[in-house]
Amino acid sequence: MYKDVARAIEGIDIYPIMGVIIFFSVFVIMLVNVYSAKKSNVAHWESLPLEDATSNSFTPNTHTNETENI
Amino acid sequence: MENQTSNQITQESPPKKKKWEGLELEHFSYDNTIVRNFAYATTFWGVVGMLVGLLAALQMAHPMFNFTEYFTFGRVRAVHTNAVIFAFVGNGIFMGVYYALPRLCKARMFSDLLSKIHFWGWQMIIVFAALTLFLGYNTAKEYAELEWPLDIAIALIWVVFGVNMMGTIIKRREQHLYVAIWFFIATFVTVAVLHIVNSMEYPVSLTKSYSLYAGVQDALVQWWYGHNAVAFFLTTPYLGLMYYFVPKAANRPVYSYRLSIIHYWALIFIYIWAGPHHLLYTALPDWAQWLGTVFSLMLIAPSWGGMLNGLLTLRGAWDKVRENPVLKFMVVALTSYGMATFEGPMLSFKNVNAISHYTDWTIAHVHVGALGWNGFLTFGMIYWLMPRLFSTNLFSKKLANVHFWIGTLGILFYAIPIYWAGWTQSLMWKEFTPAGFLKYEFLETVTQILPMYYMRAFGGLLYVIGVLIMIYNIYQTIQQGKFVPEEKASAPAIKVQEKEKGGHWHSWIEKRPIQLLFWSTVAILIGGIIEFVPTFLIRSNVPTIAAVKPYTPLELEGRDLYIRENCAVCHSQMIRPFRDETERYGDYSKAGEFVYDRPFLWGSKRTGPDLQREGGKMPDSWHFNHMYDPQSTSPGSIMPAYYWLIENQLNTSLTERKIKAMQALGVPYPKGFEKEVHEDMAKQAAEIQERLAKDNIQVKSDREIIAMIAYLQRLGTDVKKVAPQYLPKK
Repeated sequence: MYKDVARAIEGIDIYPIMGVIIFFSVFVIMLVNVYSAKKSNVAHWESLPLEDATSNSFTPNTHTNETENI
Repeated sequence: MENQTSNQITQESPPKKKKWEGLELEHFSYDNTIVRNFAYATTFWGVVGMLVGLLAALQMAHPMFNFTEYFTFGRVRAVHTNAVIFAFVGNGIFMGVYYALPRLCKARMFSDLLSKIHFWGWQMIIVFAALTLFLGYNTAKEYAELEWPLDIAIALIWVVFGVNMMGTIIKRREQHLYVAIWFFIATFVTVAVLHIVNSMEYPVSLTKSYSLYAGVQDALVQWWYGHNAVAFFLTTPYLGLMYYFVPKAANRPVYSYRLSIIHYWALIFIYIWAGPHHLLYTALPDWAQWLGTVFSLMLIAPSWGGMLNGLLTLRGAWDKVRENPVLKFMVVALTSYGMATFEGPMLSFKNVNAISHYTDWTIAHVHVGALGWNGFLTFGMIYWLMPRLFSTNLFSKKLANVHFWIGTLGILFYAIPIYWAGWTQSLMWKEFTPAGFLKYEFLETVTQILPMYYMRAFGGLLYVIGVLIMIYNIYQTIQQGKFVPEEKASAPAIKVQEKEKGGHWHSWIEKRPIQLLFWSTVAILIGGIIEFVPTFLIRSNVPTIAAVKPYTPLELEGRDLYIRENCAVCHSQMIRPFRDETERYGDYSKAGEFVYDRPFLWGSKRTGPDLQREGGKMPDSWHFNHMYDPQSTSPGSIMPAYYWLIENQLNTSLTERKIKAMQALGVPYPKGFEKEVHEDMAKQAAEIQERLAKDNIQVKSDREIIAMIAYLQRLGTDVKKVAPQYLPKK
């Protein structure tokens, strides 16, 4: 059915293969990057909802070394 | 990567004191008034939406609960779904976003004025939506029933929300955009795209329009919208809120922040493709159906990733759950989310869908999501927020626990009978006698499940009682507290910190909201475009059938009455290629039969029988009597009486313009036909009047019932004129 529908497009066979490759490469790159993120950065990011942003509890936000203690 | 991070460290390494020296804290405040207002609106519309739902449940149990023409099930159901989705959950989203977003950005909302316009605009839209739906102004597209002026208003207010949100993000004082904010951004862009594409209409008057799409295309666009309304209105914003409020309530960070990043990208990329699973075994092209199935199955991964991420946030803190009603609500919400998102992909398998589709199974499925996931997360947020906004403690923890248990019981009493009803009905529909005949009349399958409908209404009642208990509890909390309109906060400006170079690639995008907006849009558009383009561009996708002709003006008017009464919520017009369906209703539906249907009226639930081949099955007089008093022709039927169709004169003031609109949309009425419509209508009406008179029914030929009969008698008759071998093959 799909081939009937899209027959008019030349070289249509390559499209689904390209689709799969794009999807999986994006996904793999994302996985690799997410898991190579610095621990201290992640620790800061995940603690964001718990800071109440008042002067007392505020944590400098790019100062990764300090945030590890949170 | 290693290099980059070490660069980062050297760059930031200079003695700490020096780095922050001279960095002044900026003082500002958060606007709590807007949060409080949205919380009130959430609660108010929640009760309204649930009460209307309770009425709808009673109407399904007994037709005596249909009052006047304005409160029949068709209209009530549209008000219920819209009220719960857009009024209750909608306001719930805004309540949560207006609290979480500024705090995560360490900045006040971009504009107080925009916040106010957003709040009042949204409430006005809700009021007008309820009014117009009760009055019967309806486009018949599920969850997008509102007519075009309101569609435009929604788009405008949505943009106000988007500008306010993006403005806040841009002027933020915290560099990293916490994952909740990404979910909010995805919600904003996707809902905008969905709403605009699905609402493309050709206006005939202020209260009437025709869809720009016809038949199969219209169905595909509608369910791409319908499914993604669930995804991007009921799911992504609430996931964002989950990522904020669950850690808040548990006072510990989310289980895995890395997982939340994967959750985000996988969910928005995959969700957008799954829409066609609403159209399995229909006249939709096969490849699109399979696309829907495969992507729905893949969806389990990110959905469960997100659910587990939420639940595991509470690892080692389950003792808190036992004591804290807020966490209890959140745990049940997440569990319901997990159940609904496991069931969804299962329902997308064609063999399961063959059983579930058109039955109450679907209704049970969505209510696990609505009552459990959206409802309970909202209650959890309200119980957590209100004492904080009023600087006090919750009035009664005990009452909150009562609400929790009564609400949970309500969900069970709702869901279990209605699952049972769905399975029972489907099995009865499909049962044959040993001699090869259908075992049950359609009506028998309805009367069989009525006790389940009563029990479902009882479950709904319990749930509403729980909400009323919450309102009392919150009212007392407010009484004992004092509202804090402005919450003071301080943080350093972001400028100094932005000089940082290198770093993790994802942190690059996280710091750039506009780029995040852009790439999220790209991710959701890829799926949407691949679904549409072939159907839009390639003719052979919808094989034409020469015998299918446009509706006559009288039939078109009748069809618009069918839309006004929202008949499609109970009667499908789509026969699937199954033996029991072709035996019961006639030949299965072909894509080419719907080319003049604007909007399509395939329906998604069979509370009554399918009507695709209704034309010519019954005499006109049967339809007349059935509309006047359904129980007289079908004893035990739960259909409401539509007696006003016999009393009301048919409004033909727009007929000419309707025909012109259809011509403009490409329906091949002959040139100049719009001038002959009244003649044509009078002729066809007189024929019906005559046939009715033969059966001793005297009625004027200008009544609405005549148009309705004309439409019903036309249904599915075109293809009956064609020998089967000349019909297009599926």
